[in-house]
Amino acid sequence: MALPMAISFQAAGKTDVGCVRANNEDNFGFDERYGIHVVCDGMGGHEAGEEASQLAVQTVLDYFRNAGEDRRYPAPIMAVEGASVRSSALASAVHLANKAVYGAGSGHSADRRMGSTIVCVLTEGDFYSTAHVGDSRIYRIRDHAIEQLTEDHSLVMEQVRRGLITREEAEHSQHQNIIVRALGSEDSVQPDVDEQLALVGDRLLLCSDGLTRHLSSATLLQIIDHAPTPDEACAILVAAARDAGGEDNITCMVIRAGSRPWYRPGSSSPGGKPAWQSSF
Amino acid sequence: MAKLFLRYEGTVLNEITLAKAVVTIGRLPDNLIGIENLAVSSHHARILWRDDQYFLEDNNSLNGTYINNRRVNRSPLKDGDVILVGRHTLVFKDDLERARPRVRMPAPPVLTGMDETMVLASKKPAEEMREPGMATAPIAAPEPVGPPGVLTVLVGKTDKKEYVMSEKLTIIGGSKIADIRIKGWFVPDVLAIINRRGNKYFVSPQKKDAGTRLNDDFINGQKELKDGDVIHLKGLKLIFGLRE
Repeated sequence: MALPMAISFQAAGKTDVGCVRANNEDNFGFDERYGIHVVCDGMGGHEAGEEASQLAVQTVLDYFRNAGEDRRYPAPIMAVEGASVRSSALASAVHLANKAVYGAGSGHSADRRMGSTIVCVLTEGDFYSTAHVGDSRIYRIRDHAIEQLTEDHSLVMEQVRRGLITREEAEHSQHQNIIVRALGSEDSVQPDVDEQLALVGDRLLLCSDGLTRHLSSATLLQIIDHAPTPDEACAILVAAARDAGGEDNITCMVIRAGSRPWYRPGSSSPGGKPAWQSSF
Repeated sequence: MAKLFLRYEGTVLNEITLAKAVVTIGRLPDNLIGIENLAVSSHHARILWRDDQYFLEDNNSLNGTYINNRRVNRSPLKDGDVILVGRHTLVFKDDLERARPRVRMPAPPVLTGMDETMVLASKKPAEEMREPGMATAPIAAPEPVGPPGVLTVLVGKTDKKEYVMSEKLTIIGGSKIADIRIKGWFVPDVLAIINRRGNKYFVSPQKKDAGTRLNDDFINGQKELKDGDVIHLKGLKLIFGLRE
Protein backbone atom coordinates (compact mmCIF):
# COMPACT_ATOMS: atom_id res chain seq x y z
CA MET A 1 0.00 0.00 0.00
CA ALA A 2 1.49 3.31 -1.07
CA LEU A 3 1.49 5.92 1.62
CA PRO A 4 0.66 9.51 0.81
CA MET A 5 3.34 10.82 3.23
CA ALA A 6 1.71 14.18 3.71
CA ILE A 7 2.28 14.30 7.44
CA SER A 8 5.33 14.81 9.59
CA PHE A 9 5.29 14.15 13.29
CA GLN A 10 7.01 16.30 15.87
CA ALA A 11 7.33 15.21 19.48
CA ALA A 12 8.45 16.43 22.89
CA GLY A 13 8.48 14.73 26.26
CA LYS A 14 8.92 15.68 29.89
CA THR A 15 9.09 13.78 33.15
CA ASP A 16 9.00 15.06 36.70
CA VAL A 17 9.36 13.37 40.06
CA GLY A 18 6.29 15.23 41.39
CA CYS A 19 5.90 16.84 44.79
CA VAL A 20 5.64 13.83 47.09
CA ARG A 21 7.82 10.96 45.97
CA ALA A 22 11.56 10.76 46.41
CA ASN A 23 12.34 8.98 43.17
CA ASN A 24 11.05 9.02 39.61
CA GLU A 25 10.02 5.61 38.33
CA ASP A 26 8.70 6.96 35.02
CA ASN A 27 10.74 6.99 31.85
CA PHE A 28 10.14 8.01 28.27
CA GLY A 29 11.95 8.06 24.98
CA PHE A 30 11.29 8.82 21.35
CA ASP A 31 13.19 8.77 18.10
CA GLU A 32 11.59 10.61 15.22
CA ARG A 33 13.96 9.00 12.73
CA TYR A 34 12.13 5.73 13.28
CA GLY A 35 8.76 7.11 14.37
CA ILE A 36 8.86 5.43 17.78
CA HIS A 37 7.55 7.06 20.98
CA VAL A 38 7.36 5.36 24.40
CA VAL A 39 6.25 6.23 27.95
CA CYS A 40 6.64 3.77 30.84
CA ASP A 41 5.63 3.94 34.50
CA GLY A 42 7.69 1.51 36.55
CA MET A 43 6.90 -0.15 39.84
CA GLY A 44 8.85 -2.08 42.42
CA GLY A 45 10.83 -1.07 45.50
CA HIS A 46 14.54 -0.27 45.90
CA GLU A 47 14.93 1.46 42.54
CA ALA A 48 13.53 -1.56 40.70
CA GLY A 49 10.76 0.65 39.30
CA GLU A 50 13.23 3.00 37.61
CA GLU A 51 15.17 0.08 36.26
CA ALA A 52 12.04 -1.58 34.87
CA SER A 53 10.73 1.48 33.04
CA GLN A 54 14.13 2.42 31.67
CA LEU A 55 14.72 -1.12 30.46
CA ALA A 56 11.33 -1.19 28.73
CA VAL A 57 11.86 2.16 26.99
CA GLN A 58 15.38 1.21 25.92
CA THR A 59 14.31 -2.19 24.59
CA VAL A 60 11.57 -0.68 22.44
CA LEU A 61 13.80 2.11 21.09
CA ASP A 62 16.57 -0.39 20.31
CA TYR A 63 14.17 -2.61 18.40
CA PHE A 64 13.33 0.20 15.98
CA ARG A 65 16.85 1.59 15.81
CA ASN A 66 18.12 -1.83 14.85
CA ALA A 67 15.49 -2.07 12.13
CA GLY A 68 16.87 1.15 10.65
CA GLU A 69 15.26 3.95 8.72
CA ASP A 70 14.06 1.68 5.95
CA ARG A 71 12.26 -0.26 8.67
CA ARG A 72 13.46 -3.80 8.10
CA TYR A 73 11.69 -5.28 11.08
CA PRO A 74 12.66 -8.75 12.27
CA ALA A 75 10.05 -11.48 11.85
CA PRO A 76 7.28 -10.67 14.33
CA ILE A 77 7.28 -12.54 17.64
CA MET A 78 3.75 -11.50 18.41
CA ALA A 79 1.07 -12.37 15.90
CA VAL A 80 -1.72 -9.80 16.00
CA GLU A 81 -4.87 -10.74 14.13
CA GLY A 82 -5.41 -8.53 11.08
CA ALA A 83 -2.58 -6.19 12.00
CA SER A 84 -0.26 -4.35 9.63
CA VAL A 85 3.49 -5.02 9.58
CA ARG A 86 3.90 -1.83 11.58
CA SER A 87 1.53 -2.97 14.34
CA SER A 88 3.08 -6.43 14.52
CA ALA A 89 6.51 -4.86 14.90
CA LEU A 90 5.24 -2.66 17.71
CA ALA A 91 3.61 -5.61 19.47
CA SER A 92 6.85 -7.56 19.10
CA ALA A 93 8.86 -4.72 20.62
CA VAL A 94 6.47 -4.62 23.60
CA HIS A 95 6.84 -8.37 23.92
CA LEU A 96 10.64 -8.02 24.04
CA ALA A 97 10.34 -5.24 26.60
CA ASN A 98 8.24 -7.57 28.75
CA LYS A 99 10.85 -10.30 28.44
CA ALA A 100 13.59 -7.87 29.44
CA VAL A 101 11.73 -6.62 32.52
CA TYR A 102 10.61 -10.10 33.48
CA GLY A 103 14.18 -11.37 33.13
CA ALA A 104 15.64 -8.54 35.21
CA GLY A 105 13.05 -9.04 37.95
CA SER A 106 13.05 -12.79 38.23
CA GLY A 107 15.83 -14.46 40.12
CA HIS A 108 15.74 -11.66 42.63
CA SER A 109 14.12 -11.69 46.04
CA ALA A 110 10.55 -10.48 46.31
CA ASP A 111 11.59 -6.90 47.05
CA ARG A 112 13.43 -6.71 43.75
CA ARG A 113 10.45 -7.76 41.71
CA MET A 114 9.70 -5.18 39.10
CA GLY A 115 7.07 -4.20 36.63
CA SER A 116 6.12 -1.38 34.33
CA THR A 117 3.28 -0.02 32.28
CA ILE A 118 3.93 0.93 28.68
CA VAL A 119 2.26 3.12 26.06
CA CYS A 120 3.84 3.52 22.66
CA VAL A 121 3.10 5.05 19.30
CA LEU A 122 4.80 4.08 16.03
CA THR A 123 4.28 6.54 13.18
CA GLU A 124 4.71 5.76 9.51
CA GLY A 125 3.54 7.96 6.67
CA ASP A 126 0.08 9.16 7.58
CA PHE A 127 -0.54 6.21 9.85
CA TYR A 128 0.34 5.27 13.36
CA SER A 129 -0.06 2.23 15.55
CA THR A 130 -0.60 2.31 19.27
CA ALA A 131 0.16 -0.37 21.83
CA HIS A 132 -0.29 -0.34 25.57
CA VAL A 133 -0.16 -2.42 28.74
CA GLY A 134 -1.31 -1.11 32.12
CA ASP A 135 -2.88 2.19 33.11
CA SER A 136 -0.77 4.71 31.22
CA ARG A 137 -2.82 6.36 28.50
CA ILE A 138 -2.89 7.77 24.99
CA TYR A 139 -5.23 10.63 24.13
CA ARG A 140 -5.92 12.20 20.76
CA ILE A 141 -6.76 15.88 20.45
CA ARG A 142 -8.53 16.75 17.21
CA ASP A 143 -10.92 19.56 16.26
CA HIS A 144 -10.90 20.95 19.82
CA ALA A 145 -12.05 17.63 21.24
CA ILE A 146 -10.15 15.02 23.23
CA GLU A 147 -10.58 11.28 22.97
CA GLN A 148 -8.88 8.55 24.99
CA LEU A 149 -7.52 5.97 22.55
CA THR A 150 -6.55 3.41 25.18
CA GLU A 151 -8.55 1.60 27.80
CA ASP A 152 -6.77 1.14 31.13
CA HIS A 153 -5.84 -2.40 32.11
CA SER A 154 -6.98 -1.69 35.63
CA LEU A 155 -9.20 -3.56 38.04
CA VAL A 156 -11.75 -0.75 38.06
CA MET A 157 -11.99 -0.62 34.25
CA GLU A 158 -12.38 -4.39 34.23
CA GLN A 159 -15.26 -3.99 36.67
CA VAL A 160 -16.78 -1.29 34.42
CA ARG A 161 -16.51 -3.57 31.39
CA ARG A 162 -18.32 -6.31 33.28
CA GLY A 163 -21.02 -3.90 34.37
CA LEU A 164 -20.20 -4.31 38.05
CA ILE A 165 -19.61 -0.61 38.61
CA THR A 166 -20.23 2.56 36.61
CA ARG A 167 -17.54 4.84 35.17
CA GLU A 168 -18.36 7.42 37.84
CA GLU A 169 -17.91 4.84 40.58
CA ALA A 170 -14.63 3.79 38.96
CA GLU A 171 -13.27 7.32 39.19
CA HIS A 172 -13.83 7.32 42.93
CA SER A 173 -12.90 3.74 43.67
CA GLN A 174 -10.22 3.04 46.22
CA HIS A 175 -8.83 0.33 43.95
CA GLN A 176 -7.58 2.67 41.21
CA ASN A 177 -4.03 1.61 41.92
CA ILE A 178 -4.57 -2.02 40.94
CA ILE A 179 -3.68 -2.89 37.39
CA VAL A 180 -4.42 -6.23 35.79
CA ARG A 181 -1.70 -6.24 33.13
CA ALA A 182 1.90 -5.06 33.36
CA LEU A 183 5.27 -5.67 31.79
CA GLY A 184 7.37 -8.00 33.91
CA SER A 185 4.73 -9.85 35.88
CA GLU A 186 4.68 -12.89 33.60
CA ASP A 187 6.88 -14.23 30.83
CA SER A 188 4.45 -13.08 28.17
CA VAL A 189 2.05 -10.19 27.91
CA GLN A 190 -0.80 -9.28 25.59
CA PRO A 191 -0.64 -5.60 24.59
CA ASP A 192 -3.71 -3.88 23.15
CA VAL A 193 -2.75 -2.83 19.63
CA ASP A 194 -4.66 -0.37 17.50
CA GLU A 195 -4.17 1.42 14.19
CA GLN A 196 -5.07 4.98 13.39
CA LEU A 197 -4.85 7.47 10.57
CA ALA A 198 -3.41 10.88 11.39
CA LEU A 199 -4.82 14.15 10.14
CA VAL A 200 -2.91 17.42 10.00
CA GLY A 201 -3.39 19.16 13.33
CA ASP A 202 -3.88 16.01 15.40
CA ARG A 203 -1.99 15.88 18.66
CA LEU A 204 -1.35 12.74 20.67
CA LEU A 205 -0.70 12.74 24.39
CA LEU A 206 1.09 9.78 25.97
CA CYS A 207 1.16 9.97 29.74
CA SER A 208 1.56 8.17 33.04
CA ASP A 209 -1.23 8.14 35.63
CA GLY A 210 0.60 10.82 37.62
CA LEU A 211 -0.71 13.29 35.03
CA THR A 212 -4.26 12.00 34.61
CA ARG A 213 -4.75 11.50 38.33
CA HIS A 214 -4.70 15.27 38.75
CA LEU A 215 -5.88 16.71 35.45
CA SER A 216 -9.29 16.06 33.92
CA SER A 217 -9.55 15.39 30.20
CA ALA A 218 -11.11 18.86 29.78
CA THR A 219 -8.00 20.40 31.35
CA LEU A 220 -5.69 18.29 29.19
CA LEU A 221 -7.60 19.45 26.11
CA GLN A 222 -7.43 23.10 27.11
CA ILE A 223 -3.69 23.00 27.74
CA ILE A 224 -2.75 21.08 24.61
CA ASP A 225 -5.12 23.05 22.38
CA HIS A 226 -3.58 26.34 23.44
CA ALA A 227 0.09 25.43 23.63
CA PRO A 228 1.93 26.48 20.46
CA THR A 229 4.43 23.61 20.45
CA PRO A 230 4.65 20.09 21.92
CA ASP A 231 7.53 21.34 24.09
CA GLU A 232 5.45 24.04 25.69
CA ALA A 233 2.45 21.72 26.05
CA CYS A 234 4.58 19.27 28.07
CA ALA A 235 5.99 22.01 30.29
CA ILE A 236 2.51 23.37 31.10
CA LEU A 237 1.05 19.90 31.66
CA VAL A 238 3.75 19.00 34.18
CA ALA A 239 3.43 22.35 35.96
CA ALA A 240 -0.37 21.94 36.17
CA ALA A 241 -0.12 18.41 37.59
CA ARG A 242 2.41 19.64 40.18
CA ASP A 243 0.12 22.50 41.14
CA ALA A 244 -2.71 20.03 41.63
CA GLY A 245 -0.67 18.05 44.16
CA GLY A 246 1.87 16.05 42.17
CA GLU A 247 1.30 12.94 44.26
CA ASP A 248 2.94 10.61 41.77
CA ASN A 249 5.66 10.90 39.14
CA ILE A 250 4.41 12.89 36.16
CA THR A 251 5.33 12.05 32.58
CA CYS A 252 3.85 13.29 29.34
CA MET A 253 4.76 13.23 25.69
CA VAL A 254 3.00 15.25 23.03
CA ILE A 255 3.23 14.35 19.34
CA ARG A 256 1.93 16.79 16.76
CA ALA A 257 0.94 15.82 13.25
CA GLY A 258 1.94 18.69 10.98
CA SER A 259 1.89 18.98 7.23
CA ARG A 260 5.16 17.98 5.65
CA PRO A 261 6.76 20.84 3.72
CA TRP A 262 6.78 20.07 -0.01
CA TYR A 263 10.48 20.88 -0.24
CA ARG A 264 11.47 18.29 2.40
CA PRO A 265 9.84 15.13 1.17
CA GLY A 266 12.06 12.66 2.95
CA SER A 267 12.82 14.45 6.17
CA SER A 268 11.10 13.45 9.33
CA SER A 269 11.70 16.51 11.45
CA PRO A 270 10.82 19.94 10.17
CA GLY A 271 12.34 21.88 13.05
CA GLY A 272 15.88 22.36 14.29
CA LYS A 273 15.29 20.49 17.52
CA PRO A 274 16.75 17.08 18.30
CA ALA A 275 14.91 14.28 16.56
CA TRP A 276 15.24 11.99 19.54
CA GLN A 277 15.15 12.38 23.27
CA SER A 278 14.92 10.18 26.30
CA SER A 279 14.57 10.72 30.01
CA PHE A 280 17.75 8.89 30.92
CA MET B 1 -15.26 -19.42 64.98
CA ALA B 2 -15.29 -18.51 61.30
CA LYS B 3 -16.64 -15.16 60.25
CA LEU B 4 -17.74 -13.43 57.09
CA PHE B 5 -17.29 -9.73 56.48
CA LEU B 6 -19.81 -8.37 54.02
CA ARG B 7 -18.28 -5.53 52.06
CA TYR B 8 -19.50 -3.18 49.40
CA GLU B 9 -17.25 -0.62 47.72
CA GLY B 10 -14.60 -1.12 50.35
CA THR B 11 -16.96 -0.52 53.29
CA VAL B 12 -17.75 -3.29 55.74
CA LEU B 13 -21.53 -3.49 55.94
CA ASN B 14 -21.88 -6.45 58.23
CA GLU B 15 -19.94 -9.01 60.19
CA ILE B 16 -21.51 -12.46 60.29
CA THR B 17 -20.41 -15.30 62.55
CA LEU B 18 -20.93 -18.68 60.94
CA ALA B 19 -22.81 -20.35 63.77
CA LYS B 20 -24.99 -22.65 61.68
CA ALA B 21 -24.22 -25.66 59.54
CA VAL B 22 -25.91 -24.04 56.55
CA VAL B 23 -25.75 -20.30 55.92
CA THR B 24 -27.77 -19.04 52.98
CA ILE B 25 -26.93 -15.96 50.92
CA GLY B 26 -29.39 -14.20 48.64
CA ARG B 27 -31.55 -11.23 47.82
CA LEU B 28 -34.73 -12.34 49.62
CA PRO B 29 -35.16 -11.72 53.36
CA ASP B 30 -35.47 -15.44 54.16
CA ASN B 31 -31.72 -15.83 53.66
CA LEU B 32 -29.43 -15.70 56.67
CA ILE B 33 -27.25 -13.23 54.80
CA GLY B 34 -29.55 -10.96 52.83
CA ILE B 35 -28.01 -8.74 50.16
CA GLU B 36 -30.52 -6.37 48.65
CA ASN B 37 -29.07 -5.85 45.21
CA LEU B 38 -30.45 -6.76 41.80
CA ALA B 39 -27.16 -8.40 40.83
CA VAL B 40 -27.81 -11.00 43.53
CA SER B 41 -30.19 -13.90 42.88
CA SER B 42 -33.04 -14.54 45.31
CA HIS B 43 -31.28 -17.62 46.75
CA HIS B 44 -27.79 -17.07 45.41
CA ALA B 45 -25.45 -19.36 47.30
CA ARG B 46 -24.87 -21.05 50.63
CA ILE B 47 -22.03 -21.94 52.94
CA LEU B 48 -21.99 -25.46 54.37
CA TRP B 49 -20.04 -27.10 57.15
CA ARG B 50 -19.03 -30.58 55.96
CA ASP B 51 -16.17 -32.93 56.84
CA ASP B 52 -14.50 -30.49 59.17
CA GLN B 53 -14.42 -27.64 56.71
CA TYR B 54 -16.51 -24.91 55.13
CA PHE B 55 -17.75 -25.14 51.58
CA LEU B 56 -19.24 -22.47 49.36
CA GLU B 57 -21.96 -23.70 47.04
CA ASP B 58 -23.50 -21.67 44.24
CA ASN B 59 -27.24 -22.16 43.92
CA ASN B 60 -27.48 -21.82 40.10
CA SER B 61 -27.34 -18.06 40.48
CA LEU B 62 -27.65 -15.88 37.40
CA ASN B 63 -24.42 -13.94 37.86
CA GLY B 64 -22.44 -16.69 39.51
CA THR B 65 -20.40 -16.89 42.68
CA TYR B 66 -16.66 -16.29 42.65
CA ILE B 67 -13.90 -17.16 45.05
CA ASN B 68 -10.81 -15.03 44.44
CA ASN B 69 -11.84 -14.27 40.84
CA ARG B 70 -12.64 -17.89 40.04
CA ARG B 71 -16.21 -18.87 39.30
CA VAL B 72 -17.18 -21.82 41.47
CA ASN B 73 -20.05 -24.24 41.83
CA ARG B 74 -18.80 -25.81 45.01
CA SER B 75 -15.48 -25.16 46.60
CA PRO B 76 -13.89 -25.38 50.06
CA LEU B 77 -13.18 -22.08 51.80
CA LYS B 78 -9.84 -21.02 53.21
CA ASP B 79 -8.99 -18.22 55.57
CA GLY B 80 -8.77 -14.96 53.63
CA ASP B 81 -10.82 -16.09 50.65
CA VAL B 82 -12.73 -13.32 48.93
CA ILE B 83 -16.20 -14.33 47.77
CA LEU B 84 -17.88 -12.20 45.14
CA VAL B 85 -21.68 -12.19 44.98
CA GLY B 86 -23.06 -9.65 42.53
CA ARG B 87 -21.25 -6.48 43.47
CA HIS B 88 -20.74 -7.39 47.11
CA THR B 89 -17.77 -9.21 48.53
CA LEU B 90 -17.68 -11.51 51.50
CA VAL B 91 -14.31 -12.03 53.11
CA PHE B 92 -14.00 -15.37 54.83
CA LYS B 93 -11.99 -15.35 58.06
CA ASP B 94 -11.22 -18.55 59.89
CA ASP B 95 -8.92 -18.18 62.87
CA LEU B 96 -8.66 -21.89 63.67
CA GLU B 97 -5.37 -23.66 63.29
CA ARG B 98 -6.77 -26.34 60.98
CA ALA B 99 -7.75 -23.71 58.49
CA ARG B 100 -4.14 -22.98 57.62
CA PRO B 101 -3.38 -24.01 54.09
CA ARG B 102 -1.50 -27.27 54.01
CA VAL B 103 0.57 -26.38 51.01
CA ARG B 104 2.88 -23.44 51.06
CA MET B 105 1.73 -20.72 48.72
CA PRO B 106 4.20 -19.68 46.05
CA ALA B 107 5.45 -16.10 46.26
CA PRO B 108 2.60 -13.75 45.47
CA PRO B 109 2.63 -12.20 42.01
CA VAL B 110 1.51 -8.92 43.51
CA LEU B 111 4.15 -6.26 43.09
CA THR B 112 4.02 -3.67 45.79
CA GLY B 113 6.14 -0.79 44.77
CA MET B 114 6.80 2.44 46.53
CA ASP B 115 4.01 4.00 44.53
CA GLU B 116 1.64 1.34 45.82
CA THR B 117 0.59 0.34 42.35
CA MET B 118 -0.20 -3.34 42.37
CA VAL B 119 -0.45 -5.84 39.58
CA LEU B 120 -2.82 -8.73 39.51
CA ALA B 121 -1.44 -11.46 37.35
CA SER B 122 -4.39 -12.84 35.48
CA LYS B 123 -2.95 -16.18 34.47
CA LYS B 124 -1.77 -17.24 37.91
CA PRO B 125 -4.14 -19.05 40.24
CA ALA B 126 -6.36 -16.41 41.63
CA GLU B 127 -6.13 -17.53 45.24
CA GLU B 128 -2.61 -16.19 45.37
CA MET B 129 -4.13 -12.77 45.33
CA ARG B 130 -5.09 -12.76 48.92
CA GLU B 131 -5.26 -9.29 50.23
CA PRO B 132 -8.09 -9.74 52.72
CA GLY B 133 -11.02 -7.47 52.21
CA MET B 134 -10.09 -6.40 48.74
CA ALA B 135 -13.06 -6.10 46.46
CA THR B 136 -12.21 -8.20 43.49
CA ALA B 137 -13.68 -8.85 40.12
CA PRO B 138 -13.06 -11.82 37.93
CA ILE B 139 -10.58 -10.99 35.23
CA ALA B 140 -11.58 -11.80 31.71
CA ALA B 141 -9.40 -14.06 29.63
CA PRO B 142 -8.88 -12.70 26.11
CA GLU B 143 -11.75 -13.99 24.02
CA PRO B 144 -10.97 -16.00 20.91
CA VAL B 145 -11.11 -14.04 17.68
CA GLY B 146 -14.39 -14.67 15.92
CA PRO B 147 -15.39 -14.25 12.29
CA PRO B 148 -14.74 -10.82 10.78
CA GLY B 149 -17.40 -8.13 10.38
CA VAL B 150 -18.76 -7.32 6.95
CA LEU B 151 -19.86 -4.00 5.45
CA THR B 152 -22.37 -4.24 2.63
CA VAL B 153 -23.02 -1.27 0.38
CA LEU B 154 -26.73 -0.40 0.26
CA VAL B 155 -26.44 2.90 -1.61
CA GLY B 156 -23.47 4.55 -3.33
CA LYS B 157 -20.74 3.94 -5.87
CA THR B 158 -17.85 1.95 -4.47
CA ASP B 159 -15.24 -0.37 -5.92
CA LYS B 160 -16.94 -3.42 -4.39
CA LYS B 161 -20.37 -4.26 -3.01
CA GLU B 162 -19.21 -6.06 0.09
CA TYR B 163 -16.16 -5.69 2.30
CA VAL B 164 -14.92 -8.27 4.79
CA MET B 165 -13.04 -6.41 7.51
CA SER B 166 -10.43 -8.88 8.67
CA GLU B 167 -7.78 -6.18 9.24
CA LYS B 168 -7.44 -3.98 12.29
CA LEU B 169 -7.92 -0.82 10.26
CA THR B 170 -10.35 -0.18 7.41
CA ILE B 171 -10.29 3.19 5.66
CA ILE B 172 -13.34 4.60 3.86
CA GLY B 173 -12.83 7.44 1.40
CA GLY B 174 -11.85 8.49 -2.09
CA SER B 175 -8.11 8.06 -1.66
CA LYS B 176 -6.05 5.41 -3.39
CA ILE B 177 -5.15 4.04 0.03
CA ALA B 178 -8.78 3.60 1.07
CA ASP B 179 -9.91 0.01 1.59
CA ILE B 180 -13.48 0.98 0.84
CA ARG B 181 -13.05 3.30 -2.10
CA ILE B 182 -15.82 5.69 -3.01
CA LYS B 183 -15.96 6.60 -6.70
CA GLY B 184 -16.81 10.01 -8.02
CA TRP B 185 -15.65 13.59 -8.02
CA PHE B 186 -14.75 15.63 -4.97
CA VAL B 187 -14.80 12.71 -2.57
CA PRO B 188 -12.59 13.49 0.46
CA ASP B 189 -9.53 11.22 0.72
CA VAL B 190 -10.65 9.81 4.04
CA LEU B 191 -14.20 10.04 5.39
CA ALA B 192 -14.10 7.51 8.20
CA ILE B 193 -12.07 4.66 9.60
CA ILE B 194 -13.17 1.45 11.23
CA ASN B 195 -11.03 -0.13 13.95
CA ARG B 196 -11.24 -3.79 14.80
CA ARG B 197 -10.44 -4.58 18.43
CA GLY B 198 -10.79 -8.27 19.12
CA ASN B 199 -14.32 -9.06 18.04
CA LYS B 200 -15.54 -5.49 18.27
CA TYR B 201 -15.65 -2.87 15.57
CA PHE B 202 -15.62 0.90 16.03
CA VAL B 203 -16.35 3.56 13.44
CA SER B 204 -14.69 7.00 13.70
CA PRO B 205 -15.56 9.80 11.30
CA GLN B 206 -12.41 11.56 10.11
CA LYS B 207 -14.03 14.66 8.67
CA LYS B 208 -15.88 16.82 11.11
CA ASP B 209 -18.29 18.48 8.70
CA ALA B 210 -19.09 15.43 6.60
CA GLY B 211 -22.33 14.74 8.49
CA THR B 212 -21.56 11.10 9.22
CA ARG B 213 -24.49 9.26 10.77
CA LEU B 214 -24.84 5.93 12.52
CA ASN B 215 -28.44 4.83 12.08
CA ASP B 216 -30.26 8.10 12.87
CA ASP B 217 -27.63 9.85 14.96
CA PHE B 218 -24.90 12.20 13.79
CA ILE B 219 -21.59 11.07 15.23
CA ASN B 220 -18.32 12.85 15.89
CA GLY B 221 -16.27 10.54 18.07
CA GLN B 222 -15.82 6.83 17.86
CA LYS B 223 -18.85 4.54 18.14
CA GLU B 224 -19.06 0.79 18.47
CA LEU B 225 -20.81 -0.99 15.60
CA LYS B 226 -23.57 -3.46 16.37
CA ASP B 227 -24.96 -6.07 14.01
CA GLY B 228 -27.37 -4.37 11.60
CA ASP B 229 -26.12 -0.79 12.15
CA VAL B 230 -26.29 1.47 9.13
CA ILE B 231 -23.55 4.01 8.45
CA HIS B 232 -24.42 7.06 6.34
CA LEU B 233 -21.47 8.82 4.75
CA LYS B 234 -21.84 11.51 2.06
CA GLY B 235 -24.11 9.69 -0.38
CA LEU B 236 -23.02 6.28 0.84
CA LYS B 237 -25.06 3.88 2.93
CA LEU B 238 -23.37 0.83 4.45
CA ILE B 239 -24.82 -1.87 6.65
CA PHE B 240 -22.64 -3.63 9.20
CA GLY B 241 -23.00 -7.31 9.95
CA LEU B 242 -21.17 -9.90 11.98
CA ARG B 243 -20.89 -13.14 10.09
CA GLU B 244 -21.84 -16.35 11.83
